[in-house]
Amino acid sequence: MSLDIPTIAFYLIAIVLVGSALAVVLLRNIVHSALFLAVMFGAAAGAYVLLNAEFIAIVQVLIYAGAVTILVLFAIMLTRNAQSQSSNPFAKQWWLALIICVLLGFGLVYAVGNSAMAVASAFAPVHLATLGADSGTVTRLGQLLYSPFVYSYVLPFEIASVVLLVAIIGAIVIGRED
Amino acid sequence: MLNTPFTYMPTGADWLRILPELIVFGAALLVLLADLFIPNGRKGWLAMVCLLGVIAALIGVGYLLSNGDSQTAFYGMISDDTLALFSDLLILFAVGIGLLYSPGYIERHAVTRIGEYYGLMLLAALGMMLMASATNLMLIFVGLEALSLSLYILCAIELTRFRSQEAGMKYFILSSFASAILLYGMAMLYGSTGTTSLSGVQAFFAPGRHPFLATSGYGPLLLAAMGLLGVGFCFKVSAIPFQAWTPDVYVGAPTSVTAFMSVGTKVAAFVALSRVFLLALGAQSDKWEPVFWIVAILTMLGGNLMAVVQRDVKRLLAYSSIANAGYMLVAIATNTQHAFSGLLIFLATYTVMNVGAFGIVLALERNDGQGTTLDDFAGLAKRRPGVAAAMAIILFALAGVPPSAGFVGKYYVFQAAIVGNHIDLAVIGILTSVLGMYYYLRVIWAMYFTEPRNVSGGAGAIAATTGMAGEDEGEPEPADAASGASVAPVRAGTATLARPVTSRRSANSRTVVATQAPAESAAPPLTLGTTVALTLAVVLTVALGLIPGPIVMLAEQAARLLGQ
Amino acid sequence: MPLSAYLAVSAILFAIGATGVVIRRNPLVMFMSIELMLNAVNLSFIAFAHFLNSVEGWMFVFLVLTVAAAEVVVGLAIIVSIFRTRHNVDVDELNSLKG
Repeated sequence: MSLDIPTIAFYLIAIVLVGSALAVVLLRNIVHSALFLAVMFGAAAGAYVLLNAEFIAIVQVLIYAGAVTILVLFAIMLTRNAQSQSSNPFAKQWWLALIICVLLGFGLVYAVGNSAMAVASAFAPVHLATLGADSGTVTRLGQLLYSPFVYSYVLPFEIASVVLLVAIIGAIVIGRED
Repeated sequence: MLNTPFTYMPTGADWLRILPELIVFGAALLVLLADLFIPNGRKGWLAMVCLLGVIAALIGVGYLLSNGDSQTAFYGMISDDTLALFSDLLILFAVGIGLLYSPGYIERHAVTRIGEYYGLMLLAALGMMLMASATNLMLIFVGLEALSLSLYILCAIELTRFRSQEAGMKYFILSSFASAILLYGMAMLYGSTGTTSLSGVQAFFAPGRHPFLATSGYGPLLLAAMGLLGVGFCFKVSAIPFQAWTPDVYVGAPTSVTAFMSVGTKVAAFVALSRVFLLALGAQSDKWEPVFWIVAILTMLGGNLMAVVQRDVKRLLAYSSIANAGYMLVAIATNTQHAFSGLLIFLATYTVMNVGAFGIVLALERNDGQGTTLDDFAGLAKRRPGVAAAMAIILFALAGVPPSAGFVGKYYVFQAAIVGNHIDLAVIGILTSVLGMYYYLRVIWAMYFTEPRNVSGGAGAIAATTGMAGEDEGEPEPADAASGASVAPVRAGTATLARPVTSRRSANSRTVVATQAPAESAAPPLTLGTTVALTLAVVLTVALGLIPGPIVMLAEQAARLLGQ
Repeated sequence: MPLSAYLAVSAILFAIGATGVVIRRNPLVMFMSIELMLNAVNLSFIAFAHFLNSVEGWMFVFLVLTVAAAEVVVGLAIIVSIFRTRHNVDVDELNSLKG
């Protein structure tokens, strides 16, 4: 196996991803969990860059590493009481749950490692939107999402705005004090 | 630059095909706007606006049923086939009934964000309709999230009642957990077939398309995809062993919301599940049928067994909805066109019965959410004969007694199971239905043949002498009412809401006094909306039992999708 | 790197997230674990999109990003509002509905 730069980068990112995810789940101090969550979001953005999805990597940093992390930290600060160190316990049957989840993990890893995928079968779906090498990824995405002439994903996109409307209403309903 | 397959432009026909959804969305926006201009105290008009929107959407569904072209719209994202319109019909009916219940509930409870409440009801209905009509995994996911987010907020909307907020949070954590699992299943399905469109997935498994499929199977990735999708959907339809959230959320949420969401989410989730498994993954049915077989048996047995031990009628209905999910899963496991139409008929009958049953609970429960135990139902027939009769009809229907909607639904599902070589499922279904009769009939027994044993009397005694406290009083604050109970007997009807804990503790010492006091006198009389909604539900329950013809025809037409 | 390497990382992340939801009792940590799961799914989608040479996976990731942001808003609002009334957000304490 040749150790070129993308390979090394992949291993580094994978280690950071898994390590910070474990830290989020296992650390007792909830603030540390939140900070490791931010690390994990950043590492995921790195993985997206390796997969040529630069634009999504940027959006990931903006939304997840930026907005979501800040919101989570705010929520922690707002709900923190004096004995916050001990307010973050484990469930009582944690070992049973752990066994089940480890089995789940092994099952999933086995599944993805031992499968014929559409990729391998050189399968070309009829309406697959192929990524042209000539046009930039952002251009193509923009066309698919916004263009008034060539779009196909407009309906899910519009419904996503409905979801955001619901979230706005929800924040007002639950958050406003009067 | 534009040499992609995406030279697609939505036309007027596309927009026409999502007409009911558009109307519901427009009505939701209108309500949110109108809320700004309607002064407090007249917020009941908002319910009228919502109802007009729902009726307009129903007309839209009717128009599409007669003039629709059963095509997909927006590049294969959404469909206006009969299946979608059938589920739209049920969802709109459920939200309509829920809206009729709402003004009465809101006046009595601590719902202060009235405009947002109505808007979210419609947006939740919109999400359900989208999920049921979606023909692409993307739209199923987005519709699911639209409905889930609306329902989280609606569950938690009573800001001063802790159980409501708790229900909202439990629902949020467990439901988004399930959404993540479902989403991972979608990702794997996308990975193994290369498309997110359901028809694309179906085409992928078409015989002869990929010779290696026949020889080597498709490996564990597809199995994992089906497993994760199955777990996600089972969470959403509250099948055992993924039912843990259901009773708590149904009991904690505002009852008008429970009535709507207990049927709306089931319709949306079951239709989406059928589209994914029966339709898109139909060619792989040998792999998923056994799993649904086990889940159906577990859900029928577990749901009914757990319902037997319940003393609270609202909680009993929550477990009964789990048991009913089990009967619906029988149809999924049978996996024939006939069973699918059975599932749709069952969904229709379940919708009318269940909104009615929760409506009765809403009519009887006091402002603190108490007053729905079996003891509170004791002797109800003498005190409120109308409500008791309605409840009896609905419970007989839920139990599946012959000339009722419940019997029709069960008949079609079990008959399809027997025809489809699943006699085992049919036998277990019939046996558990008999078990179910026990707990439904126990409530009827309590209403008609037992004397009231008052356990939560207290201030109810005062209220009985002073007449019922009407809604005209406005929205009394719980704390005010409790302190004012001794000096202002007129408000005593609402006073119980701060007292049941203490009165329950001293129940033994009070029993002698309390036997003279009707237990539910603290529950206010029915509002006009509730009466209309209950009448509608009861009449439809009876009507669907006596003349099931039209709904059966529609369901069979919708199920034809499977035969294509 | 081959596709299955990315998918394996994604599967491990997903399992860790699921474990977190099940074994932790603080709603905020459970919520963060759900975010871990969603990120694992996104990684899968992007890996598939890259190796399938298709943009549908990207579209899906966009929707997931949007929806996750909305979910964060609603979920944290509910958690904070519960804390305001109860001053405790341990789910073991949330047992007034058991029975």
